[in-house]
Amino acid sequence: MKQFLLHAWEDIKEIILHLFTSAIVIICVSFVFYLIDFVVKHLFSEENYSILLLETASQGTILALFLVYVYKSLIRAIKNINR
Amino acid sequence: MTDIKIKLRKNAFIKTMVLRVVLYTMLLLCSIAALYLLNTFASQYNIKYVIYVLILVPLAFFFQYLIYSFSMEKKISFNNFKDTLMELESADNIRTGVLDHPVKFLFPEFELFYKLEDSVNDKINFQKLGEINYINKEKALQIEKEFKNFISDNLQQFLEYDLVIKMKRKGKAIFDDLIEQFPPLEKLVPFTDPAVIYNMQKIKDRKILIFDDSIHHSNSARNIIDLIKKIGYEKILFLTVVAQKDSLESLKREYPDVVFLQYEIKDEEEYKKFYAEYMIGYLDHVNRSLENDHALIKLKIDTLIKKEDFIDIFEDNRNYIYEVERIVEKENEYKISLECPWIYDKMKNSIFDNIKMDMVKVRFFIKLNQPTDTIGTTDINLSPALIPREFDQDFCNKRKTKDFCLLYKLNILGVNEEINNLVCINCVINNLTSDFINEFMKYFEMKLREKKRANIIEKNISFPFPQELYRGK
Repeated sequence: MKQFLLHAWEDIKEIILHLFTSAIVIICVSFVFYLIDFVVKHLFSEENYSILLLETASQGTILALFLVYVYKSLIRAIKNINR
Repeated sequence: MTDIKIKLRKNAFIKTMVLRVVLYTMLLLCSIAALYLLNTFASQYNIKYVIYVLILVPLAFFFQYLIYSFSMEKKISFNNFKDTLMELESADNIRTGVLDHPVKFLFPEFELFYKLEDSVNDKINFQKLGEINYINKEKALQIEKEFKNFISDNLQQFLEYDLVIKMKRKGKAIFDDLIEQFPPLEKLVPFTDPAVIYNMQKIKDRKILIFDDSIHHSNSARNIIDLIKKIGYEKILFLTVVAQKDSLESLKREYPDVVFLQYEIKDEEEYKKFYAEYMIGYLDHVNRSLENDHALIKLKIDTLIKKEDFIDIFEDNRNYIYEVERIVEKENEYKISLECPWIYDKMKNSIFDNIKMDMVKVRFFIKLNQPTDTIGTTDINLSPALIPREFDQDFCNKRKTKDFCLLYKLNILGVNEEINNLVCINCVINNLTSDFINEFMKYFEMKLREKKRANIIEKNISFPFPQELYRGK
């Protein structure tokens, strides 16, 4: 019983750690989004086509990398449950 | 040593950052190009963004993979890409129940860096340069006796089994020694672990005894049990001399139908102590069967090289001396083990494009002649232990030597695809060893001349001819 509880506690700790890092990554991504938006709105005129292009492209890139992260953590979680 | 750790950390960090900046910038440029092209071709917003995301996500995966393979120095190929995508690379970590730290999976290359640091740590723990690390011979003999009593107590149980799989060279050495003591054990049909895969029909649905010297991280145990499970079996007994407690428990949980029998079960600390104090001595005692696998270089040097001098020769950041031993009775003889990570890189630059070394260790058995005077000569027997982890599949074809290549000898090349993919261990070890000897001897001679003004008078090299087939990765 004691062993079981110890293992459960280890697992819970790992899950908390994962949730914590995921949260940090989400916050970072949104912050970068905000930053890009802020820079574009305040430093450049919004009608500037190439700046808009850059903004959408960089946000798209960050989003795609975030998806990679989500995919990786999902697949790891699944593998860990299977073990 | 802290300097080495700081250097390692710095290098890993710089490498990671540079790679990321370069590759993410490239990804951003690709993303801009894609968006620009889409803007010119498609006008409908919804379709445009859907296509954009569809292009961008695989690109991001690809660039992440590039970062991973550059930093881990892996070969870039579609198969490797697939493995990384499905996270097959770290399957071992997951199976051992160690969930990767999130930082490691954001920065996969740090895994390599942690490993490097761990190996440095190990070396610091083992390093006892000031004092000589004696093997306690009496205790070793006593434990050996007790272990043999343990075997004789359980002998009847072992004889129920049909065949034995001897794990790696250490397992083989100890079990061969046991057979000499207990002749009834000869009844078990012997296999070594790499041979299992070629003898599936003979192994299928039998009673199997697996013998290994120890269970530490339990990776090799898992590999062999998984393989036998795939083939099919009646029952399995996993017998070892010593096991690390946590690994053993996780194994027992995972394979409830396998019987584990251990002479000693120890905690991590005690395990290491037990291994260092006793197992190394025992293995030295039974290592007759190991000798064929190593090249042996016999040197005679015109100067006395004492322990301190020797340590002085190799005292720099490139080598790690991690063991200095002396058997109690022989005062003129001592043994020094040395690991030379710098040779990994040297080898990578020669013909071994895709080879990864797990270990390049050199053991020096040093004998001082006339040690009481300041004048005398030194005999050194030098035995490199080279352990390749991964190598290219077609490596053997590149440098097959007809004289000793097993595949030529068996005359089976070209029979089918599977056989063509085999790598002959004779060729691998032989080529590796000759490269190693060239590099190392150059270095050693230079250091001797530089620091001690000593010269090598005699040199005699004999090469190994191990008799086993291994499969390429």
